[in-house]
Amino acid sequence: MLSFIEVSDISKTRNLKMPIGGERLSPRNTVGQAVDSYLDEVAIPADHDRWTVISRGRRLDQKALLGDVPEELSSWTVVPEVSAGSR
Amino acid sequence: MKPRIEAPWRLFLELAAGPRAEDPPLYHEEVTRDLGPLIEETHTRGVLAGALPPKLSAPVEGNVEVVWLQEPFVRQLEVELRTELEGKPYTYRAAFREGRWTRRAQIAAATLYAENTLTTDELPYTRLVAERQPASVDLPLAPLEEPILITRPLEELGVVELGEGSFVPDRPILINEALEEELIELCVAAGLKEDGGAVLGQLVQLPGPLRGTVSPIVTVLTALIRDERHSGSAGSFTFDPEALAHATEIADLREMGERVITVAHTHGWDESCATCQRTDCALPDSSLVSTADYQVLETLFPSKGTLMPIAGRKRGVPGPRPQLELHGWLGGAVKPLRWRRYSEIVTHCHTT
Repeated sequence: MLSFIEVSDISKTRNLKMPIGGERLSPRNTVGQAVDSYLDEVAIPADHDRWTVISRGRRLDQKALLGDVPEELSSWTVVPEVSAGSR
Repeated sequence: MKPRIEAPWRLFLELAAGPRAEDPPLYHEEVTRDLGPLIEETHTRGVLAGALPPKLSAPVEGNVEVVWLQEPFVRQLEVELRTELEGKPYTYRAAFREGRWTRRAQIAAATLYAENTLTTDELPYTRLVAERQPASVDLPLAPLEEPILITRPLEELGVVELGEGSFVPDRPILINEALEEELIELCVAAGLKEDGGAVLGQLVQLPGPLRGTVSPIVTVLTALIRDERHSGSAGSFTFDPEALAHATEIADLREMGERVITVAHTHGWDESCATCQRTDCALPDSSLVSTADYQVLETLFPSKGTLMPIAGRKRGVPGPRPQLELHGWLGGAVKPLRWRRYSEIVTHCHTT
């Protein structure tokens, strides 16, 4: 079971190590709640975006409980689903 | 590490129907939280300019000052950050006339038009109001970044020869001419649709500044990584998260210390652009940074050091091919920045 997660944005500039079982996160929290916690802590505006969590090339289920995520998937990259463009 | 900032201000965005102070606001929103990105930008610019140490070995403190247009209306905000390294003090100061509230104002104005509070021949006047507080306000600040710096010589990173262009002295940027060429060809091929991809690059710490610059830290954009999972249409280009994650794996495989440093996209091109003199064409040009582009910059690449290359036509400047414009954070908004090309191969012989 995960004891911590290391979360980063795609360019690896906002890195955060978050213990599972600490003040913020428990094994009963979901992957999606952990993402919200990360975005809040590193002050990335989360409004209106859907976020994807990728670990070792795999997309994690946002509804999965942290307690059910295998230990080898402790390093996460959090990516918003966004569009650039002139519109 | 989070900075300790003395900011005894609450800020409010107002949109009014007229330019006079007594014109009542049509829209009012507290935007004190928008100070956070200004502090991040000040720190990142200070580090990239070589004016603040990259290592966060000592606390960073600072303050926010208001320059009045006419109290309580703000002309500009000034952020000063202070720290030290091995007993030597460092200070960096930046001024801001724009911020996230500027984009909030655009969205609020669109709503005022949509609900007919404003008619199409009326322009809203945007103003920033500051109220002094007895103590510093609690700001939602991100931890300060230590930039990921590569210390290898430029030659080892494939920079063989510097080409055309010019440097911003305190933010030197190099772009691989092959990357520029690929984006321009992509823009032509995509036509009115948008296209793009992930951009690899590095921040390189040199022993000293390049000629014409004052900072030893150079941003190098090296390669474009395209992926069919990204999708483009007229006016929009959507980045696929798994394709971006795959680009980070490609960066690791290249073993040049690169990472996915930003994304690039095109803004459309038509054959007629080559001779078009119109300045009112509906086709966007490469200078336009849309609210969607801002969203990409603030969520996908939250560092205030992020650059955004856009290829497209240049309004009022006809030419046979699209042009590449580079945008970066400057004064609370994303503005065009100067840069120099580099080549990976020697294009002429030197004789002695």
